[in-house]
Amino acid sequence: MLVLHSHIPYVKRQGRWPFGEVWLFEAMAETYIPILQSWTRMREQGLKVPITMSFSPILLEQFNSKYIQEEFVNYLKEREFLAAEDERYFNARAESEMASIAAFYYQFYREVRRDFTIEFDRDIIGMIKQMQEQGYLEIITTAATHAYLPLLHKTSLERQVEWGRKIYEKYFDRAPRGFWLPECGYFNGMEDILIANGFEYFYVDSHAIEGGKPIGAYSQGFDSEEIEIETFASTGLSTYRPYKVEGKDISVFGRNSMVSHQVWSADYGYPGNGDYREFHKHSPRSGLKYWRITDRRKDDQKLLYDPKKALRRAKEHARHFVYNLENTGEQAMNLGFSSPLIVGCYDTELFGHWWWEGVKWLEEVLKLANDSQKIDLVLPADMGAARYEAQLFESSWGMGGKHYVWQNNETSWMWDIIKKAGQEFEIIKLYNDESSFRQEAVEQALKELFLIESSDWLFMVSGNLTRDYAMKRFFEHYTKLLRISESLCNNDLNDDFRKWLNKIQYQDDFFNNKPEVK
Amino acid sequence: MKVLIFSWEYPPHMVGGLGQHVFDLSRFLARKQIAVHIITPRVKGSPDYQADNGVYIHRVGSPAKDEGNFKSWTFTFNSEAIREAVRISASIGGFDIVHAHDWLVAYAGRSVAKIFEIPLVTTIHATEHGRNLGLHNRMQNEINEIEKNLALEAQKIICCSKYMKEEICSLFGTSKGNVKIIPNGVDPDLFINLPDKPKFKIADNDKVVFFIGRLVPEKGVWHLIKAFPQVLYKVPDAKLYIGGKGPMKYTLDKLALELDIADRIFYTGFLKEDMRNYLYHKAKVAVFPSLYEPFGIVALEAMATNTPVIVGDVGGLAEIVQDGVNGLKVKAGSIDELAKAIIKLLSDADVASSLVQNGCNTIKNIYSWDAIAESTIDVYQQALKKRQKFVS
Repeated sequence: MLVLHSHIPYVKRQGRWPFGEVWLFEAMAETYIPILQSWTRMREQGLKVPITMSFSPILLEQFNSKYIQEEFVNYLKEREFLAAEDERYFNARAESEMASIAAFYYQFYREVRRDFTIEFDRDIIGMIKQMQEQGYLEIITTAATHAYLPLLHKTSLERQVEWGRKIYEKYFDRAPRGFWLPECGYFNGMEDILIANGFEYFYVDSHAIEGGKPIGAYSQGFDSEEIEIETFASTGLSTYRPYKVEGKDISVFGRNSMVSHQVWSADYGYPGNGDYREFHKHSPRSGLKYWRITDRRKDDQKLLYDPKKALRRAKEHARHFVYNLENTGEQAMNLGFSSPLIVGCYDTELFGHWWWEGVKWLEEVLKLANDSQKIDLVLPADMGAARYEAQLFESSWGMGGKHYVWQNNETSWMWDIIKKAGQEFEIIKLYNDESSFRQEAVEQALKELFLIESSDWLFMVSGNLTRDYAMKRFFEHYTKLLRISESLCNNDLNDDFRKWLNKIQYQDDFFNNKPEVK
Repeated sequence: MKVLIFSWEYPPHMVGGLGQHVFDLSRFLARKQIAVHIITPRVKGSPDYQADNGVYIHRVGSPAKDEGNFKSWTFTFNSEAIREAVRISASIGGFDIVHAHDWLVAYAGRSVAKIFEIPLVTTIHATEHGRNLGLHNRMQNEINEIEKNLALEAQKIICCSKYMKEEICSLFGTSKGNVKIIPNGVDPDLFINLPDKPKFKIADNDKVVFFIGRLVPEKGVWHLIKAFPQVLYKVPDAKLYIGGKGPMKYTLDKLALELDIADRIFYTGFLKEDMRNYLYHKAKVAVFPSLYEPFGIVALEAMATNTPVIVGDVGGLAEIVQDGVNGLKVKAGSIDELAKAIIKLLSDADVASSLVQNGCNTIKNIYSWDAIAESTIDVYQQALKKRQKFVS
């Protein structure tokens, strides 16, 4: 079972470059559209490629924005222009290798633009909805703004889940069956909230079921010596089968550590191979990336990128992966699992955005899996009811296996503010009355709270990645929330405030279908 | 005009010179009909709200602590400060200017200015890069980043010396036109008050060499101790008084023992205002051999108290002191030059008294708070204009 989780925080009208909307545009151009296209191609070739995909509600809202759709096309045109300029520049200097890479990018962005405007009719949601209706894609949902749930207080937590469901229903005309816990963050009791919202299954990391040592997906930017790695008692259970959470009416799938490790590991995962395109180094002229990783430890000795060579490597890695998949399956069968389940969960943006060749690799893996006598690709619905029960450990897929990545010395103050903001909103809600203007103000306050709760800011601050942007956003949404609160509580709803609120509604513009504020 | 000032220090919470600066600036702004609201951390024993001749002081959050997670405390304070700013803004019908002093209040300043759509002015008193003579760890890099983003987001930046202006522009890439130099000032009236009963007594004819400042490497106090044996060789009855505290104390003690001059050095610890005045009053010479000094208010304090002064030839100190006119300058880090200068002032009364006379004039003519408040209001007005242009 392949599960891809897609999320970009709310960046619409929150700065373009170097931080902000460009994150969304890059993910759309390099990941979402190429993956969906590669899929359509495989379907046209008659392959069965069932995949489970989660899209965060806040990402769907941005897909659905006319503004984002238009700006994305502008972004693509800009990239085409820069690539064409680069090509001319390198040709003029007889640097033919560079020129051909520039031409490769030009072609790439043009195709994405054609796909987006013609094939997708600018409507990514329409596209995935159609795919789901045809039965080969299972779309699941997650927390409304991708909050890190285990540490959130109850009211906010329930709201995150509930709105995760509501936004899904708004776009896909049916109830979601599966829930992706952001960062696989789980605590005992989480399932009750999911059950209350009608969910049938969710995912956890392998150690939540099996115990033992967690895999730890992220490492960049963290001081590994600070981290307490929790050791989980071995349970004797295995992720080769789905379970029912003990005593509860909901299924849980555990991520398989072998398939995760091969893709994620910084040391021997595929994406770090020297032939693949280097993510971090880019041309100061255009921002385009012309180099291959070469040697991960040597920043200043990068060789030029060779797309053909990289593609060959991706195919080789795909064969290796499928071969291992078959072996793992056989080993599991030897252990007595008659049809072992192997669940691979990844951030969608890994493919294409972080790992440029990842989309090709994925396509190749799916093709090989189709050919394989030993592998069946499945959707959660194919699994039937789980027959065994499991107790789960409080856990996540982050470093150390628990909450460290989101809750540590760098972020403890943020949790205090998240909590205060939640309490503030409880007061604000009391001012919700018939007046449509008050209602608008309360709704906007809720949006600010939702944005404060995004796990993205915590992750960026603790990993020291684009930290200032994260802190700025965090404080700005908090300030907006307080300003709304102050005006409502003082009944000070003058014209200045109204004008200001209109501006804020324009900036922080999502979840507008107005379900009642709860 | 209504001005909102965010400051980590405000009397009685004083760590470096920041608290004194904000105190003087705000009361002189208030004399020019500016309503000044200051948001600053709570201090034990001080009220949460205080109105003082047009200066309104709001204390929020928990008192600053030396130990524990300082970064975490800082950002929590920023959130409390924002909450207070939102509250005051509603009750007084909005501010015209936000003025943030240093990185510790950067996020409160930026956020309130942005969400309330008012111009942001920041005073950068020192930079992390300068304080540490480079950036050596994650914390220092983060602070540098915060300072940079504060500088880039502000409509106007105020700093205290040419030296600081150069540093800010080259470190953060801000345009020169955005940075305005306004020197710090001293109010000589604040140096008149002496203790009724000093904690320790100094005889009138004692040959006191005085240093005051945090005991950190950039202040050069290590060099001062290192130079002192040479001073004692020529002036055997000289005494060195060191006011202030800091992380270097142990290193300094060890050095004094090695040099066998521990009995000539007197640590006063942190000096309250009246005892500080007493020491300036008694000192025959004040010495500030800094290696990094954005401004060097202590040089002005010495001049305001008629104390001849020796400074390291760096940063703002170099701009305040004209060598041989209102003080003596020595090459930063030069132990021999430092010893020579101290010996000169301890033994040549004529030179000392001429430096004192000229120092007195320097204070009166250049470093008065009245002039500083005037220039600051000019900056506020420019920031307002810039903002209007930006909006239209």
